[in-house]
Amino acid sequence: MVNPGGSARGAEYMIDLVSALQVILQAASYRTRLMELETFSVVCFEDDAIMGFACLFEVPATLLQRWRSIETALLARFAPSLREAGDKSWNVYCAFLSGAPVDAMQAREVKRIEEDIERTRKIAACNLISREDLIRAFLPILPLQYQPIIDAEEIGDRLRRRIETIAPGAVALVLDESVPPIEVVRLLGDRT
Amino acid sequence: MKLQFIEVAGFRGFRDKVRFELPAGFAILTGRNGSGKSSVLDAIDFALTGTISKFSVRAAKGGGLDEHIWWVGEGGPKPRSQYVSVGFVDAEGEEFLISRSRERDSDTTADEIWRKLSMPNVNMEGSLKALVQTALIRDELIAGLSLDLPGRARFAAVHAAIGGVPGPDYSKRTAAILQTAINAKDEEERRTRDIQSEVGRSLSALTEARSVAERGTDIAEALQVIASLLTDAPSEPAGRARAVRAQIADRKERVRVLEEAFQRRVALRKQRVKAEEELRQARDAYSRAMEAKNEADQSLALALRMDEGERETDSFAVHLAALVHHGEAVGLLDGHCPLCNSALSQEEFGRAIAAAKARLSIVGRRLAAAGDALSVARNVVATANEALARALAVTDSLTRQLAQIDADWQSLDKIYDQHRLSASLDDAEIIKYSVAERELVATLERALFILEASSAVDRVTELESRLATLRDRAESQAAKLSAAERVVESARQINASALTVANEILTERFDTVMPLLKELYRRLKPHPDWTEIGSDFGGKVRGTLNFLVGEGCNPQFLFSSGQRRAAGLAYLLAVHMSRPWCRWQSLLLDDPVQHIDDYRAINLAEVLTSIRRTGRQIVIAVEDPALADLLCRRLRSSVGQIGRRFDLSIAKSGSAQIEAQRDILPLPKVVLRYA
Repeated sequence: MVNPGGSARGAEYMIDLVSALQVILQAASYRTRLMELETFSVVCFEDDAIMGFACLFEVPATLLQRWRSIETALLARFAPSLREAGDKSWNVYCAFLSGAPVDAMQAREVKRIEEDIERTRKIAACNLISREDLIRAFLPILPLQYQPIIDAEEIGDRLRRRIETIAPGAVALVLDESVPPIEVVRLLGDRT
Repeated sequence: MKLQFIEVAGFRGFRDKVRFELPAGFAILTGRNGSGKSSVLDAIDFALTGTISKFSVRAAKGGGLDEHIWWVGEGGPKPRSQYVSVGFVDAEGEEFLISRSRERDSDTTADEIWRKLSMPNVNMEGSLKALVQTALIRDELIAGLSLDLPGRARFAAVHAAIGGVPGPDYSKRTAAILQTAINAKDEEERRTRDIQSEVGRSLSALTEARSVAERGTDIAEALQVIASLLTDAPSEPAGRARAVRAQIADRKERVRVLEEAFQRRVALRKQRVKAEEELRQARDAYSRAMEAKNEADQSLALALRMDEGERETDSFAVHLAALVHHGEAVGLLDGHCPLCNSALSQEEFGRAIAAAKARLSIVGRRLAAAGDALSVARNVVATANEALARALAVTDSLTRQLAQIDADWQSLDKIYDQHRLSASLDDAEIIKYSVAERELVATLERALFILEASSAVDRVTELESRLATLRDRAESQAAKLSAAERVVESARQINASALTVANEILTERFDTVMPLLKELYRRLKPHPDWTEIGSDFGGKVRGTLNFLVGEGCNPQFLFSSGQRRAAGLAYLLAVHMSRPWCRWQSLLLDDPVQHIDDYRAINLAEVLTSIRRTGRQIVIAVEDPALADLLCRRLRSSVGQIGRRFDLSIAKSGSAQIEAQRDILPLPKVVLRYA
């Protein structure tokens, strides 16, 4: 199943992947730089712990055909830097992206690219037409997107309103710890 | 608040004293099975809770948990001391220490620990247990506490993690009120049952007493009499006796009224006879008076005529007297009377004068007599008038008296009519009727006396009275029970509200947490196809929480063991990240990658990295040194929040030990060169 629940998509909704990706990565404190590799646009990114390359393809077929050679070319291109990177050289990501839609079979092949953990960590995604699609694809290297802020509503306020509808006028009586339960029961009986 | 150090001695796999200084960033514990990784995390659990929560079995053959908390290794000397110390430090550098030794429990109470590690004024049941469960994610519990849980237990786990709310916890109070109301209702039910039992016993006794009462001969006759006279009398003796008494009183009154009416009837009849006779006499008297009056009137008219005649005669007599007097005075003139010129002697003249005077005297007497007769006649008329008036008055009075007698008679007719007796009955018939009534009354009184004289009837009466009292009490008790049931219902609703409100808040909170859970799920990618997860809360008071993937499918039954663990991790990590009450910013993971493939282990490392980026301290135990390497590289050591790796092993003594320890320093900031 590919993106269950997704809306109808079309080229008219496509974003500029290169620009959008740089904005997203920069917002996550990555330094970015755009470069060309062969005929492909590549966004290079790096922060204190991670570095990587996002290569954009016109169509998924090209992506599936070229991702491995592109990975090799990028590693060769940055081999001097990586050799000096020490442990950081283990934290290299290669992202293979396409805004074009994929069929189910291609989608599974794209997923399998991610499961290849040789040399670099891969991110592979197609059908990227929104900022949210890009964020979802790059979640592995982005900070947490959602930080729950739990409301500190007092249970007593809501409970008081609820008790008032059950036993009008008995709220104070019921919630006053100084009134023994037996007395509460007796007074509730008087009220009923 | 983060962990500062863990020091153990004689605890679990550590015989000798070992101290783990934990940096603010992260700590990786790695080593083979049995090298003490889990014992380090157990030490934190034990320090906080006094137990090791992953063990659900408290007692077993060969000793329970308590016998295995402390070092039990064979060979070598026993540890000199056995204790666990865990140090915490907050952002301001304030330190907090918890120590527990084998000899004595911790000097720090659970309340003190809770206050240090939680936000102020948060009340939670089982606080420290919930704290540990949401901070320490163990392999043993990943599936058990998350995806494989029943919906209700999962809800309870979420409630324990994020259900703590500010303000008093009223659920105990409302539960106590409900229990008290139930107890009060139970007491009323018991009383009701007691009364009903008593009513039942009384009814049985009453049935027996009635049977006995109705078997007596006299009683049977009395009952027959009563039945014949009171066709609508109640069947039960007391009611029947009441009806008989009422009937007797009614009939007595009836006899009294009729007899009084009869006496009145007789008296009126006499009065009427007398009055009629008197009226007749009065009318005769009146007639006579009228006749007397007429006679008197005639006499008076005659007297008046005579008196008038006499008065005319008297006028002639006056002239005659004057003539006589003149003649007498003149005397005979020449032998002739001076008056009539008749030739008279003196003697004759004298005799004539004397005769004239005598005649005049007679006229005078007759005039006086006429006056007297007139006076008498007038008196007679007056007397006759008076007598007539009296006779008329007497007649009128008697007429009115008779009218009154008639009216009284008619009122008697009404009385008879009211008692369904014909007014035309003669006295004998009325007397006969009264006598018959008196006999009926006597018969009824006798029957009543027989009934009341019977002890069985007394018993019946007593039982009926008692039964009536009991039924009154039962009615009153039923009202009390009804009121108690209403109070229970109110108390139940209030208690349910206390729980419902807490659950509502929890549901709302979980809705707040859900986006993070979804994000973590997406990051961990447990399943290649089911890439999204949803939640479904059910139940108001006893809530349930279930997870859904795709079109309402339950991942619990769709996912493999490893996939369930990955999804469970997403859930547990989301819960960990969402505790509003927790000041302790350490995430502890005990071998969370078992059953998870390499790809998903990398996903987990990336998720932990994203959590590290929130500033949390992560302490993770993993067996695989390559994974430990990966985590060391990925968990983002930074200045002030570095990482540390502890390689654990088993010493020759059999004790776990730190074989190597290495600080994980920040990576080079800039590597890529574009020139």
